[in-house]
Amino acid sequence: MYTLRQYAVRFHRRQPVAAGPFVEFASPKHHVCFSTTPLYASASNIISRVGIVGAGPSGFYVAKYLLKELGPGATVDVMDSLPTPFGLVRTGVAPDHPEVKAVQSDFEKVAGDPRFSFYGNVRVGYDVDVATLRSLYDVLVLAYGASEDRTLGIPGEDTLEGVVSARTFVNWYNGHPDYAQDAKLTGMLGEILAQASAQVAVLGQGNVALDCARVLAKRPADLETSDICEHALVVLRESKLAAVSVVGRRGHGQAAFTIKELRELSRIPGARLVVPPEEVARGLTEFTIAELAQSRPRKRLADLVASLPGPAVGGQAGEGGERVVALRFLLLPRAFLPDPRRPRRLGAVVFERARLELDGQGKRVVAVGTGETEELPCQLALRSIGYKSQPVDGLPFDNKKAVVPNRHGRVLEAASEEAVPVPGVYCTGWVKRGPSGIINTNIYDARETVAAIMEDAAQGKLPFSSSFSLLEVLAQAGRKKSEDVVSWEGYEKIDAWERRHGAARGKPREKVTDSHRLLEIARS
Amino acid sequence: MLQSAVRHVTVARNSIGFRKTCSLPALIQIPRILFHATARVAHGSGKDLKNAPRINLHWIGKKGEEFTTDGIVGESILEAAHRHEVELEGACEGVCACSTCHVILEEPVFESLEDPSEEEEDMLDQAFGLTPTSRLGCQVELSQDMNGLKIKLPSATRNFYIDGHVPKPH
Repeated sequence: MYTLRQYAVRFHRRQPVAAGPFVEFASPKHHVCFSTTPLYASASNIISRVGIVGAGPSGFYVAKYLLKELGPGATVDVMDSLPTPFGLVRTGVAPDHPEVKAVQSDFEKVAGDPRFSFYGNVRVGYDVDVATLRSLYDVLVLAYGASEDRTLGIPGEDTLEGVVSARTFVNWYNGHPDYAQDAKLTGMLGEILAQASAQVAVLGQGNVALDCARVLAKRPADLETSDICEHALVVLRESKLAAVSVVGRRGHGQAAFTIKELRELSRIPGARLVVPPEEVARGLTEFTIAELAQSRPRKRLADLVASLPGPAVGGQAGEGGERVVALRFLLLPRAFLPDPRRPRRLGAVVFERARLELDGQGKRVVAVGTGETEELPCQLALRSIGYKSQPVDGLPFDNKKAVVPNRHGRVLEAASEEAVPVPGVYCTGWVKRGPSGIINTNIYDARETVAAIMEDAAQGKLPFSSSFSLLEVLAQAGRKKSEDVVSWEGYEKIDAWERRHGAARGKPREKVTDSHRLLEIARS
Repeated sequence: MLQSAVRHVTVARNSIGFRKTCSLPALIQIPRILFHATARVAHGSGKDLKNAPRINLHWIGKKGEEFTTDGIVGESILEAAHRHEVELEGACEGVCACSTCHVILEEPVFESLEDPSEEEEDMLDQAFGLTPTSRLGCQVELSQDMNGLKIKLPSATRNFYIDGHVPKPH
């Protein structure tokens, strides 16, 4: 926020010429006069400083809709633990989905607002604590997503090499600095996939699971023009993968992936998507059929699954080097088994066959074990059963749901119905509703949070903020030197560098995956 | 407070007629009503719509408010919405890869249109508040016979405002 004098000097290169209830200054083109006393107060000019933790889609959408509401003197600071913005749009969305990443240009427009600032490479809870942030901002919005994985809790999960979370794999090919720089991981994935007739099991049936299967099944040549990282392409070029199984606990009527992604998987050149017809048949229980009739999206999706061909008779391998992608249903993961020849490595996943039942209340379809087991040989298992959010020190957390307790985006003192809101603290995105939904879901979510903020502002429920800047506070805490904080201008340099180096390889961008290098480019 | 001070500027310059020349950078965001929207180049279509005929579009907004804008024959509903700052997202920039430009048409018009493509149907499956006459705004091109077209924006609050909470109008 500018003082009146700074404002006049900055935007008009003029010193105010008079003081008093009105300040006037002349410029060659126009004559402007400022009132020094508020003429009226409205919700939009009560809020002057907003801090948003997390620069992913949920953070950007909340910034976008807040900026539409706020006055010209307000500031919106968006911080991220990575030097780069856009969260999962950069490190999650598959490289071969550039149309999904188009939303970045919308976010770039948001960042172009003079009231917007980006603070990359700032870790909340480490570089700066929540109490400090609360004192800095009248409105603090948590939009830090879900950085933890849900786990299966079955034998071998933590001990065998080759059991990897889908997040790790996705972040690895998408150039997240914490994973892409992991030479051991790159080495292990390279070694496993280069084995003759390598087999992969993806556990879980959301869109992330389909992304993993697609990236693995595609011919490397078809990924070369995407923004997939070069180190991943090197591994995928050497891949001798024969089959990927995408395995779900429940039936095709309950699968979480969306039809667009499944259709895409069914049309990959060089790969064949199959589904065992008996698993589809067993999934069509009476209540599932009734459920499908109620929902157009579910019905269309189930029909597409049912229309897929069955596996080739006499084996898994496809004809003529074709890779097989198999959708498998009604299988509960029970254990990861070691490879008998290399006991530290994964050799197979044991599943228990399941059947569908209604839960006690008769509302939810659940998978119940039948006692019958199946062993699926594979050298790599990608666990893709969902994410969960992490608590942040100094704010309440709902450990049961793994979200920040909230009512319409207002953070609550505790996870209970009667709990009162924490003044000035809000949340949006995955920390608010749990890790589900697509990028678009954040639009509705952000709108609701912004409505709550504006309502509280109008009712005078927001705390006062100090006039320190985030950079001053970071410097004071001594955790982060200001030259290590990436501004939007710094990110624009990274963006330009990546585009330039990508163009040389015929890619939209070549991501820089080393944090130090990212900071160097941002400072250059 | 400066914010209120600046508000005053908006009022002041309005009354003394500085609309065209006033150059307060930080103010660009507020005075939507003061700046006339300039025609946006139709994204990706490469069509020259400058001399194309115009039709009237009747919108029903997210809160039920009604308003009328023009539409240029040949542009999409999404493009018309963006030219007039109608609150319709277009996260994928109009290439049928998201469902944020979901609109609801009236049945006779919906029936008269060419069937949506498989891609559009797939994206519609992800739209909030899907109705039997839903379409994606980026996929419906305006034609001369659509004059007076009624376009309803799905309620944004459908999925999140529960237990009777009503957002305050801003």
